[in-house]
Amino acid sequence: MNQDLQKYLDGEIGLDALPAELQSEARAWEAFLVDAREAGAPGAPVGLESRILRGLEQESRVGWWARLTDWWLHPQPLRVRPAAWVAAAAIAGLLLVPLLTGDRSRDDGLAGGSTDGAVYVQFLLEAPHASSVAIAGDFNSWLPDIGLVDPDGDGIWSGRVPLRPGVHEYMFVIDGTQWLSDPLAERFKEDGFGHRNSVLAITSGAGAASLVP
Amino acid sequence: MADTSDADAVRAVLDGDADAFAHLVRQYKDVLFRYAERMTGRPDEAADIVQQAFIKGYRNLDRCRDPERVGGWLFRIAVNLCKDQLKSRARREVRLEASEPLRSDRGLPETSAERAEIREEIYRALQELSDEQREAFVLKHVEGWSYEEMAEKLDASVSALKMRVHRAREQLQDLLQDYR
Repeated sequence: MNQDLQKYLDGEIGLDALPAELQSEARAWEAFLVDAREAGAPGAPVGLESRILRGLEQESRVGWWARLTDWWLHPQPLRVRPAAWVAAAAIAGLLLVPLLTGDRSRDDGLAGGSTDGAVYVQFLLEAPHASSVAIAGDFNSWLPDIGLVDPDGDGIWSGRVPLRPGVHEYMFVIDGTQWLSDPLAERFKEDGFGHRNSVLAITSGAGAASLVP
Repeated sequence: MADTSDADAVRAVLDGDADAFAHLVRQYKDVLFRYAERMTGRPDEAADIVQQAFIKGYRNLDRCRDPERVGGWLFRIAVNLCKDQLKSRARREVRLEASEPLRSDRGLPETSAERAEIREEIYRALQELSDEQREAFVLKHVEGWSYEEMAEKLDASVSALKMRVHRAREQLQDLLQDYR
């Protein structure tokens, strides 16, 4: 497409700045964009507002204790490494090995699905200005609803998550909005949205598992 | 609460008046749904996303640092939920083969029925764009955001976003070549 036409559509130049032969094309584009704005529903369907309000009413009745219980009963994988924390990565590795679930019958207190064959991975992230840190990845349908905790307020958020052997992609989500790659991940993969997912590979051997960078 | 400002509603909710959140739902449900529907191409998923966005917003309202701009904050939550949904879908579903270019065998639509039809074709063509291009195109040309706003909200550079929009337009032009 003509670059001047792109500039016009970006609002950088006016119609008068275009040569006559492009002005008609520009007008056609304007008509198209009007149609594009009208393509699709003009607004929320009937009933959505009341459905949302019912959900909110239920949400306020549920209260913080039930939400905490729900979070605890549906653990999600967490893995965070701070940007300047090479040492933390080593700690994570050290924590990982003894946490391998060699004894499948052991009740580890985590519900929300079988953890057979899972490896518990400790995640750490240095985020001193964050109000919340969560992790989202292929292991939890990319929903950033797995919270990390920073009980002592030192800005180091942590949590452990059962992960099955395999290759996992994940990102951290700060304050519910800012998606962040694990700064110390050894491998990354483009996510199609201009960011890079961190990649973690876990292999399982005979009775044990190990991280593969 | 017709005369309630967004900031008033936020303060009321934080002061314990949960019903005040209804003002924000009424105010922003349409814009959130329009965006989510165009991004997902599925009204049922869009409705779920909008509901989830409001619930997340309600839960985390104390983290909204600028109550005057709570609408933008809620929209940003919906943008991220759409990303989550599309990422999740990409991993669940095998991408369908690219469909044939969308063509109408006529010039500019004249009747309302024709216009409705061409809008349906545009809607389908939007779904043919990559998620990244569709996101940029919808925010720019449907929601009317500036590139600077987009860059701030999407953590991407203005030049990268312009490139996405340019490519989206070019692809739409190819897909709908007989429309224009």
